[in-house]
Order: sequence, then C-alpha cells, then structure tokens
Amino acid sequence: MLADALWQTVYMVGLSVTISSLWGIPLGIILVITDTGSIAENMPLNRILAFVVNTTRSIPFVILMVVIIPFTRFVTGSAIGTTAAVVPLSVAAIPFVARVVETSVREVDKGVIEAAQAMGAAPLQIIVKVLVPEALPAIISGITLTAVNLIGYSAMAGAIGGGGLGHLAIRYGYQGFDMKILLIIVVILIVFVQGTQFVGDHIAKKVIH
Amino acid sequence: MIRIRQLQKVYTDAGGRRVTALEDVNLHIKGGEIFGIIGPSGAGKSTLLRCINMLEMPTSGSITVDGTEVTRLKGRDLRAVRRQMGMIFQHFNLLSSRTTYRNVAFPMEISSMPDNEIKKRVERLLALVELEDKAGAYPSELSGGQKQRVGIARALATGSKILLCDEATSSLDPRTTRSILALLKSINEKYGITIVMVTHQIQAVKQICHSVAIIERSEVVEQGRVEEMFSRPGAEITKGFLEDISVTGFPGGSLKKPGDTYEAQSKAKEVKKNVG
Repeated sequence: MLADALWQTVYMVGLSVTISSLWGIPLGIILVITDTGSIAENMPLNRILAFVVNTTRSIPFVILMVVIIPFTRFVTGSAIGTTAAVVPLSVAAIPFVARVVETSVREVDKGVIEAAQAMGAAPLQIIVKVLVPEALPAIISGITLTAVNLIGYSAMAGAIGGGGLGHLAIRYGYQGFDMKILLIIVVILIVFVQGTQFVGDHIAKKVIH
Repeated sequence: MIRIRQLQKVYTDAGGRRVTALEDVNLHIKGGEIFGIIGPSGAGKSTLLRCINMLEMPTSGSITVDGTEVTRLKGRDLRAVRRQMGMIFQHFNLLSSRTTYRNVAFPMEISSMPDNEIKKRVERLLALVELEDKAGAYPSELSGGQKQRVGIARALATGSKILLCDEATSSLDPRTTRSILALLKSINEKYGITIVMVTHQIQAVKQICHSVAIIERSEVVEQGRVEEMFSRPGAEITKGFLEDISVTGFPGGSLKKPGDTYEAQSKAKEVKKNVG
C-alpha cells in the first residue's frame, strides 16, 4: 500500500515536472525576448502570454483541478486516476515554471547578449548559446522549487482519485485515526522533499562557474 | 575603411524627452590605423562606436564600412557584416558558462565553422594573447587583464579586419592597461587590423593612436593626426585639453592619477574658469 502510494506520487510529480518544464521553459524565454527592447520584441504577444500566465496562477489549485476536468478528460480520456491528476498538476506548474525561468533569463548580463549580437549571432543562437546556458543554474533551482511545490500539490490530487502519499495520509491517517501511518508518510515526504532539493542543488552547483 | 557622414542619433528618454546623443558627426577612419575617440562621459562617444556595428540605430546619416553602407542593412546581411567586425568591452562580456577556449570558439560556432578549424584557430589565438595555459579556465577564475585578453582573442576569431574597443581598458589597473594597449598595438602592426578605440584616458590615445577625434556634447569638436593635435592645437577645446596635459606632465608612467582622465581635466578647466 505504501509502496504503491509512493510510486503514484513519484509518477505524478515526475511526469508533471517534465511536462511543465517542457512548456514552461520556452514560455519563460518567450516572455523575456518579446519584451520591450529585447531580441524579438513583440508587445501584443508578450501581453497576451503574461495575461494567460497570471490568470492561471491566480486560480487556487483545488479549484483549477475541478475547472479543467473537461480538458483533463479530453487529454487522458478520463477525469479520475493518477494519470488524470498529472493534467491539473502540469497546468498549474507551467505558468509557475514560466515565471521562474523568466526571472532567471532576465538576470543574464545585458552586456553578454550585446556581445553576442555584435558577433552577428541570430536571435535563436542567442537563446540557445547565451540565454539558456548563462541562466541554467537559476533555471535548475527554479525547477527544483517547482518539484517541491508539486509534491505538496499532489496530496490534493487525491480529490480526483490521483492517489499518492498525500491521499494515503489523509484517508488512513487523518480520517482513519491511524497516527502511525500518518507519521510514516510525513517522514517519507520529508525525505522525499529533502532528496529532491539535494539533487536539484547538486545539479545547479555542477553547472555554475 | 570607415566613413561616417552627417550621423545623427536622437533617442527618447524614459520621461519622453528627446535627447540628442550625436549631431552631424563626420569622420573618416583609414584602413590599418588606430583611431581614438575621446571625450567626457555622456558626450556620445560610445553611442558613435556602437553605431558602427549598428548596436545602436542612427536616426539619420550614413556609415560605410569597407564599401558597404551598414546603416542600410538589416537581419541576415547586418549579421554577416557584424561577423567582420570584432568588439571588446569595458566589462569584457564573456560568457560565464564557457571556458576561455569555448568563449574564443563562440563567434566561430555562430558562423558555423567546422570543429577542426575552430580548434586550430583557438589555439593560435590563445598563443597570440598568451593565455594557452588558461584554455580550460572559466571567466570567474581569470583576472581583469586576462579576461580582456580572452575578449580580444574572441573579437579576432572570425578574422575581423576591424576591432571596436568600447572603453576596453577603463576598468583595468595602470599596468594591465599598458599591457593591453601594447597588445592592441602589436595586433594592429602585425595584422593591419583597423582599431577604433573609445576612451576617456588621454594616455591611451597618446600611447597607441594614430588619429583621434574629440567629442564633446554630441559633436566632434576636433579631429586629426595625434602628433599634429598635440603640436598644433586648433579648436578651443583642444587648447584646454593640451594645456591640461602639459600641466599634468604626462611622464608616460603611472596612468591613474587625478587629472589623467578627460573628465577630470574638463572639470579642472571649469573650476579654473570659475575662479578666473
């Protein structure tokens, strides 16, 4: 039972971190490069994206989960279950990753971007060879932060049958008055979060120079 | 080599006011010379330099580099011309995520040069700037002078015929400044590379420049051969500029003395005027 729940949590968090990074990183970069004075200035696009990101971020996760049920059903064919829970988790995390990446990329030294422009770098080359590598340590820290947040969020995914450790803790521990299982799960979650943070910090440290 | 005609740059500041950065600038920079652009902070000298590779878009006027009117270029054509010009900066602007080797390789990657050719060139360039032993070091492990040497190697990597220097020695100590200037001079002599150098350090101009233009309040107030400028002052500003030099003495020794920079001298002059 515990092993199953642990696997469900790892599955939900792992998959939604991957999906939200795949969408959130490009989105964050687009938010920076389309801004005034940047390498691919496009204010209408920038405003629209910023609006979408802010809107999604302002909806509380529990409500978001319910609101997007039709979308979840469209994507996974079902509105309940562990895989179905990945959809709202990813949707909630994409704008978060986008903002974190945006902040990281904005921190890249303007002079370095200008040097690349002076060398005749095209916008795509600047993104791939300058912005991403220079912001990489901060981006990795941001994704670690997202993963830790998603571990917390995944507990709520029990509400739509996502399962996982959080759900087990609420059902057997809180509602079933089993203090022992509650404690065990809390300890596992602590270890899980610490482990995630440790791995994230370790990778970030490796790419920082 | 570089011909600048009636160049004007006006921009709108944050408050919506129109600010003139450059007004009717006309310059002719000959191939193979070291051309200094000197003036106080905010005079527009960096803006002028950055118009040459179009990092700044001029409002009007034209700049022709090696027969190509760069001020008409956009996109791909502009990038192609930029690859023919190297640039070095006051704050070096190296990629912190790349080693010395890969920083020098960067412009060659941009122009999709084959790896074996890149390797050959990087090794030759690192030998030129005497940094062979630092190939694997990251910028955070280098001193200011070493960083600027990497910057110079990088700027020359694609075989540039023109090197633009934006206050390249302004954040270096006097000794390092002299060695960087000597390096620039030897590059100019060895490879015939045209160097355009923006600075507020008069000593830098005296040490290596052949010609110089003085910019004050958005306008070129004086230009000519360095030796002529120093022996036959013309405009009022040049007189002041030279008087101050003779006052400070200029032994060619220490660089960072008060009165060494153009700003300090301008200020000194103003003070003198006020007192007088």
